Amino acid sequence: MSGVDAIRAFSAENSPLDFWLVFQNWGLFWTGLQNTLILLVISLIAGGVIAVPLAIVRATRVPVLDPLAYAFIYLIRGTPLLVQLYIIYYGLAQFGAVRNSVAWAVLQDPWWCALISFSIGTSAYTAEIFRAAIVDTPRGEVEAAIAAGMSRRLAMRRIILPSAFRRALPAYGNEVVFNLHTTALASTVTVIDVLGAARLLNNNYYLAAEGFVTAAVIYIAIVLTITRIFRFLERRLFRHLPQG
Amino acid sequence: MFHALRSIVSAGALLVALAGAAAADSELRFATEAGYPPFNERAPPSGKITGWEIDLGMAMCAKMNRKCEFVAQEWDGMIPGLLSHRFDGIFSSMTITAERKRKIDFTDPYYKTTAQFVAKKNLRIDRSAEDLGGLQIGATPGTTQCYLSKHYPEAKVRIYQTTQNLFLDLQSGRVDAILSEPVLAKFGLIRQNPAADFAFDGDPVQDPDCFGEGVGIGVRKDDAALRAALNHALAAVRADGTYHRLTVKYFGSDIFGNSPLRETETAPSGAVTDGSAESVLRSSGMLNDVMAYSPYLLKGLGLTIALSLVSILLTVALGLITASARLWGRHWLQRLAGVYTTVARGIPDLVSMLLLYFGGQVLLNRIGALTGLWSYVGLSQFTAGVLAIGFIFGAYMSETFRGAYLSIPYGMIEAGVAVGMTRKKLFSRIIWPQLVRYALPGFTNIWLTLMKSTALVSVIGLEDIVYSGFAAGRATRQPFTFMLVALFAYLALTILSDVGLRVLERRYARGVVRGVGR
Repeated sequence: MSGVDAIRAFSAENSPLDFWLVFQNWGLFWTGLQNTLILLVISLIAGGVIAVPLAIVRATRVPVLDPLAYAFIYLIRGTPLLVQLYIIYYGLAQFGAVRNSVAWAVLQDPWWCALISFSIGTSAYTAEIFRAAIVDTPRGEVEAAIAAGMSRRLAMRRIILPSAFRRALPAYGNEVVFNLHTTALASTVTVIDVLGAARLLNNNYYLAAEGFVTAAVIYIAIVLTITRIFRFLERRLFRHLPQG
Repeated sequence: MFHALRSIVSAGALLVALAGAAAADSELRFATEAGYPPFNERAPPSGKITGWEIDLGMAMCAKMNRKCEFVAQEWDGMIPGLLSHRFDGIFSSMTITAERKRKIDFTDPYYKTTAQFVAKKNLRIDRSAEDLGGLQIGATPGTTQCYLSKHYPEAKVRIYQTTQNLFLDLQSGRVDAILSEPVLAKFGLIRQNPAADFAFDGDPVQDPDCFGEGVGIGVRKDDAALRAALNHALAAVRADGTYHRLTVKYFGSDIFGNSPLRETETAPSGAVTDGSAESVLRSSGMLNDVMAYSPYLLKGLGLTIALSLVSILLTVALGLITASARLWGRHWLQRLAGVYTTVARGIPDLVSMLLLYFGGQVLLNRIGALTGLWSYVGLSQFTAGVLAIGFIFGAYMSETFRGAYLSIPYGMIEAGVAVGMTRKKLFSRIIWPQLVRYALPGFTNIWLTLMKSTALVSVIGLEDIVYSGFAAGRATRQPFTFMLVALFAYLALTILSDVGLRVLERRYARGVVRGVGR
């Protein structure tokens, strides 16, 4: 028992970081980690669902829709996500019509506001990645599909998209990491994600660094895991290609 | 020539002497949240810090015969900022609690605080239930959070970093009720929203564990002389009636003992003119509001641009150093540069920024104390922002430079050596022009991302375009309008840089044959 007391005393008085205090509050960081991961995964799924049609519209130059998609993507990529989040969270509440509408059930919750803005954000970046991958499809693959009698739609579904997804994988891996970084903004609208947990801990005990260092370590661990997963996926999906 | 040189040197010496004198004269710096009207706030539209606490502080400083200044500081950085000498006192309605006293000292209380529930008039809060009837309650860290977690452990509580955001979310209906300091709620919320029908629910709650002995000025534990001087000055302004005059001016009554407030009290004359001024502003339309705040917004935009430019310089420097280390460094240097790029790109930018801002200063001063090399280093919000942004994007920039260098065909360098070029000439004629060409697209991307990342400095309280836009939006109840202004400001910056840098890219790519193949 005295061993634990000794650790606690060392942690509070001698150690540059009070790690024991962090350890005691592991439940807080666990909650934060769950929120961060759920926000990350759901926003990636929702963003991906929006991104695919956007990318097809851009790559195949659908009239009318293409400039609209371009404007949307440029607006989202050209402005900070923090501002977009503030507009959705604090801005929309300015209007009585929004507060009295059905949408308010969702918009009144900070968690949903964060999810919506992260999904929109990642959809714009992902659409550009997919667009580039679709445009880069080798001519021969498309010609072969047409020669085999596929319709444009079928060729898109069977040939172009699967091969484009594969080519987009490395760039998409980076986008997943960026999106993780984005989710840290959730703490600015009271959501307790990993950073939110860190800020609460620092607030409760008047600390300067402990919470943030813990958060930084957790985020790096998540990033390393994500890169591992993508390296594994790349190796699996590129099996048929010559190595080197 | 010699004369001019001498005058420059002497002018420099004078500047250094002046700076030293200013430090020796030790202007007192007080931190304030600047968002707690009528105690402290930013008066629209100039953004100047004003309020009862500022008047009181200045009156006390006059008694002490010292120059004083109030600086804005977000709430979660108050105690870390004081401990790291960012300022000398916390003059921001901070309640004296046992928990806080473990870290810092306080002067005698200058007013007493309690807390009271505020909600829509027709809402009755079931205060006998442990979960407060399942209502969503808003609170701020420390005092009211402490009370709620102690007395209503089952309640649904949401914690807000600033009082202003707490009030905003009660107005929008995101929280059903809040627990707040009553004077503040009365002047900052209820009076300013007569149409919204907010009212106090029940009497002020009491709990010395959470609300302590009152509100005092926070000072460092080793600053006993300042504490004594402030106590003396406080007694003096109380004795000569200045204190009473100021409280009556701002609150209509003396709040020193803070008797429970009744919402039926008549409005004091002369105080809270901001509310009415604001409603005048509001009726005159959104565009006029934006015009009224445009000097403040432009100042914010200027800061965003300055911050971006200074950061990109640091980014390029760090990028070049790191890329060189990875290309030509010894083994351990390559390792170190690799770890740096992994870590910097692994941590979210907001985390790096908060860590550097709050933790960096403490670390710097601890190193200074251990090594004895420097006594105290202050890290301003601007510096912390630049360091954090430079730290993050330096890692990305190094990869861009490394990739660009590796793209230069080696044959060209060999050819340069073969025709007898010196190292210097080789660099300026062969390597640099191509390095720029290959690195420019990457540089453009990093610059565009960096500019957007500067928005995060608003979270540490630096008054960039996001901060000033948000402050103006809160003051006019038009967050949407003003955040949209900020959004378009960024969009304009993006388009400008996008166009400018593409032109540059084309210039450096002159003479390159394009369109080979496809």
